[in-house]
Amino acid sequence: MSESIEIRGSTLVFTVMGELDDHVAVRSRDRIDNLLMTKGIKNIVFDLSELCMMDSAGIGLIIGRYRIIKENGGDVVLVIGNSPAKKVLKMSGLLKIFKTYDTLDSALTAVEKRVYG
Amino acid sequence: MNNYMSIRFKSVSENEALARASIASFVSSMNPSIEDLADIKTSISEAVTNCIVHGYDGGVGMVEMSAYTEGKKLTVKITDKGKGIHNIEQAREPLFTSKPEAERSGMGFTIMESFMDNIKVISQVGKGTTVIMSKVLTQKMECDDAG
Repeated sequence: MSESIEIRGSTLVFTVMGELDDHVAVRSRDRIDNLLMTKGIKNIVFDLSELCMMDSAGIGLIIGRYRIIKENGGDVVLVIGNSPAKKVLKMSGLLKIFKTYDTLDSALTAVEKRVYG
Repeated sequence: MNNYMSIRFKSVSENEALARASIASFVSSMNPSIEDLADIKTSISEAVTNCIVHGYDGGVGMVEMSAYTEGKKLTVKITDKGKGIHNIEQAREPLFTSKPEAERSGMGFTIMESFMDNIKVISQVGKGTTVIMSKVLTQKMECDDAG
């Protein structure tokens, strides 16, 4: 599997490596949504920094989870680094909606500050 | 024409990766830049996903992909024999999707248009759709290869 999910406090960290396409997005959506319903997650960090390709299925995955998280007053942030995914995110206007970070640590610090700060 | 390839595969989402890997391998002899390679793979992914998700609408069919090179220019043709597109102009509009409930962003054609130099869509309702796209690969500087 090229993707992993980790729970850090009230934040779900979704890390995906390699390629994020429709095939990966559909199976990831189900795994994430099951956890959102059962674990009381408030925020999501999408770590896309190790991607070498992301198509529009990735946009659908992020926007869909954002709608769920926003209903509960949480936050969704992205870790992009130097990933080529940045070009697709920028073209889709997502970089205007989401805060982005270069590293997972900086994203987690920012999200947790927002919750507990 | 310098080189040519053709493959045919079942319309299942696992094969999106097969299509990308095939094209990546095919263009490798052209020594593409990392950005060009990412652009090509992303565009192929969009076109093949359209065949699987929209053309065959979850049903099973075959997707055909062929590609050829002329100097630094790559041309890729992707065809399904699925349901076709009623209104191509509308389908190519940014954010238009016929499947909003399935979290489709409607950005597929916009990405193909932006990442490739040219894209042509030919479709007939009930017969299928063909997308032909081309891109002239960027000339790499000598120092790019020096590591």
